[in-house]
Amino acid sequence: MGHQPVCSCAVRRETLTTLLEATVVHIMLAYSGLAIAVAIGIPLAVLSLRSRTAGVIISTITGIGQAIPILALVAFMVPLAGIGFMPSVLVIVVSTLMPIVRNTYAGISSVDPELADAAAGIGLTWTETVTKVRVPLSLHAIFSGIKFSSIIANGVAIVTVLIGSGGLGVIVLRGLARFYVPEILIGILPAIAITLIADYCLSRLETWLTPPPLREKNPLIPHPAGTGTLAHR
Amino acid sequence: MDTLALIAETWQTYHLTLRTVQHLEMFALSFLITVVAGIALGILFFSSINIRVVGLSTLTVIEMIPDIALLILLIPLVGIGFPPTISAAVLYSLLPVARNTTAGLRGVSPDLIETATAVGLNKRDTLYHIRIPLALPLITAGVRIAVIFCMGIVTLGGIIGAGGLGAPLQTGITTGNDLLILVTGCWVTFLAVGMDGIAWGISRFVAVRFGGRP
Amino acid sequence: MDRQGPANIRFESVSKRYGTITAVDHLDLEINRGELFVLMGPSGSGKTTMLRMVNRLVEPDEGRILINGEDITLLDPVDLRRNIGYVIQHIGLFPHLTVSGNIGLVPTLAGMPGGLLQERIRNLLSLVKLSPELFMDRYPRELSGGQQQRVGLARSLAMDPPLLLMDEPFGALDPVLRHQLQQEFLGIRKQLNKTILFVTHDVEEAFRLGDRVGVVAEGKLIRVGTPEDLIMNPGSSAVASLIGVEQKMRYLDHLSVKSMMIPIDPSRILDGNLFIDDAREALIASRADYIIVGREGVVEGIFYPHDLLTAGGTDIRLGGQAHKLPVFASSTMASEALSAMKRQGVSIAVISEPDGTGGLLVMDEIMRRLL
Repeated sequence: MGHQPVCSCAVRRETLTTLLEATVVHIMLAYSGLAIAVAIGIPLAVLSLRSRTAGVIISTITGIGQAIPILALVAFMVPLAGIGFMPSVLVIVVSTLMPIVRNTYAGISSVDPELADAAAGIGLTWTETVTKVRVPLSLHAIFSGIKFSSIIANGVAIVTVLIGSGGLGVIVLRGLARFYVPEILIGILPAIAITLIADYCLSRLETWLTPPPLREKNPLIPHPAGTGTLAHR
Repeated sequence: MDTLALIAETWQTYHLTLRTVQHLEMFALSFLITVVAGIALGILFFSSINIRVVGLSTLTVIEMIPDIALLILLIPLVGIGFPPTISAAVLYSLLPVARNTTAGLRGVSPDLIETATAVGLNKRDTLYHIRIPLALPLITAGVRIAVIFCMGIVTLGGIIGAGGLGAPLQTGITTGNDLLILVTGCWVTFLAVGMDGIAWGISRFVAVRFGGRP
Repeated sequence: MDRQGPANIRFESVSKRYGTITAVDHLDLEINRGELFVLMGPSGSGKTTMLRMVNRLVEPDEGRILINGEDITLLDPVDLRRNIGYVIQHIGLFPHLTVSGNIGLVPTLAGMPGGLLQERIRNLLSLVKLSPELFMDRYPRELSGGQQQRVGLARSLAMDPPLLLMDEPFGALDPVLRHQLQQEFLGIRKQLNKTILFVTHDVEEAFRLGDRVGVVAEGKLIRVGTPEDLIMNPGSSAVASLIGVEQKMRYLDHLSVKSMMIPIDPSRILDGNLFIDDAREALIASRADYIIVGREGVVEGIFYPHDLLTAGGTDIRLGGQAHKLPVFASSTMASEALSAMKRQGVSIAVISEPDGTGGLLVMDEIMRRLL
């Protein structure tokens, strides 16, 4: 099989520091990318609401973008943006943007038109109706998109090891190269754990941000990928 | 002229035709299994609430991890290359199809179902002639998602030795071969977006034919 | 299920409760073969529930329902429903099937051969006045409400059932269209040769279409009869108030004078050949307000006491002096007779029956009875 370490304790310590380091890099990679995607995506969704043409363009581009396999996106960075941490963050931004835009748009556009009317009627500007009425009422849809994108981000963060991002992918790749299963697992299980923890944190964040009267009981079956249907309207 | 020659050369050198065939074979196989199993599960979930709760929860759990993670997790179980790629693609894509099938079947207007009963259709006929046709718009929407998932995972399979177009992509990255990356990347993008486009077209057709949207 | 000719339905003490609410309260009713029976009543009176028990969409809590003498709970429900036509207000055409697909769905499932079915579909579409060439391949969403309802009717006839259940089928249409479809339906009804149980809250519709009408209120069948019966003898203030004055006025169009005539008391008839002097004695003796003058069984006119006193000499016969009354056959429509009377300025007319008997039509009396 692969080559076994000579001294187990030393290697274990080394592996542990590497693991810790890799995990930190992974989290930074995935979530800075996600944060940027949220910061860009929500305004893009609002823009789609404002202008029909912008909406169509954004919708088509996100539609096509979502169909492109992740590996292809990662590969494209090499000639276009180089390798390393930043290009990897870029890939994560691009691949997590689509679900956020789509789900946010689905949420803000399906707010009861009478409410929007009422808001305009009491003197809110269009932007204010969005920020103070539409977005707060669409929190669930928006978070659906963010949660779905969080899963994608974690996945992409593994694949970006190929373009030198560092992170848990390094460990996975090493395990694959040596075909040493424990190492593969040491790389991938933390990534899965991070995904699940992040999903939980995002749910709590959503509940915290939602005003009490609007809080729904947790559905029996959570639907992080349910956003797939929304995202493909 | 020059560029075309270069592209052709790259194509030859890295056996892109073979890779394309492998890629499409894997896609076709996983996609077909997904659609058949997904719809069958959807119908099963529809018929029994207990099976539905258990089944959908299980599938949802699978969906909560990144697809690459699922792919890699399957390696200790089924080896590398072809088996985990197909299994991961199927497992991951089952949820959208099954869930949408169940939702579509349950979402048919109860009035229509009552009319069907009143007119003399038994349960089986109502399922096949009324519920399933009217559920097709949602089912095809789920199938469209499955297309994207399958394409993505099949591409990733190249990293773990399954062949397909993911392999030359990885080669291009590790060898810094920009041309290879661009040729393979654009080609696989074209295939993926093309498949999605076909799926979109079919779902629009179905939405009009069975959903009544003009 | 017996499919020889139209079906006969019998409800025996049928009840249905939903929690504390009694939707149907001990219904006893027999519907005859070939008749168009209308269950009429306000919303929530239970009439729809009664209808839906016939094709077992609802099962009674008590009592039983028999079709052609067979208890329907002993029959296979699917088979039963294939032999009963069902037409509802919201039409319920399957949106994903064409018109011919909708009509042909059940026959196909029941194994009818394709060629025969196509012909049957064409015939049915013609029957409901939709051109087969134009409509066979259309989808329900391409049709107007009235067209959809016609297709709904055609669909219900696809298996040539002996029984038709219709639940406010014209209710979702605008009044003009509703009237038109009712007329057309009446037109084809004889051809259909089926028993029809029809539910409506529209009194006018009930009277226009029904051979017999059953008035339903709060789950109970409070009155059954022909439309004429119900108008002339409501039987209770509840029924009378349901029917309302306007309906009666409008129903005059459909009433014949026969139901409104007052039979002639034979003691009031004097032979027209009598001389006036003799008649005078008879008249004073009887203290009548009037006498009817007749000759050889035919009513000729009416005679009032003061006429007698002013009448001429002893040679004059009664017949010659009587005021002529207009005579109408008993099948004349009431509205026609009343208009004619008004035109001639008389308030009494004679109604003659084919067998020689007859009665009087007294305008004041009519008004009194109707109102």
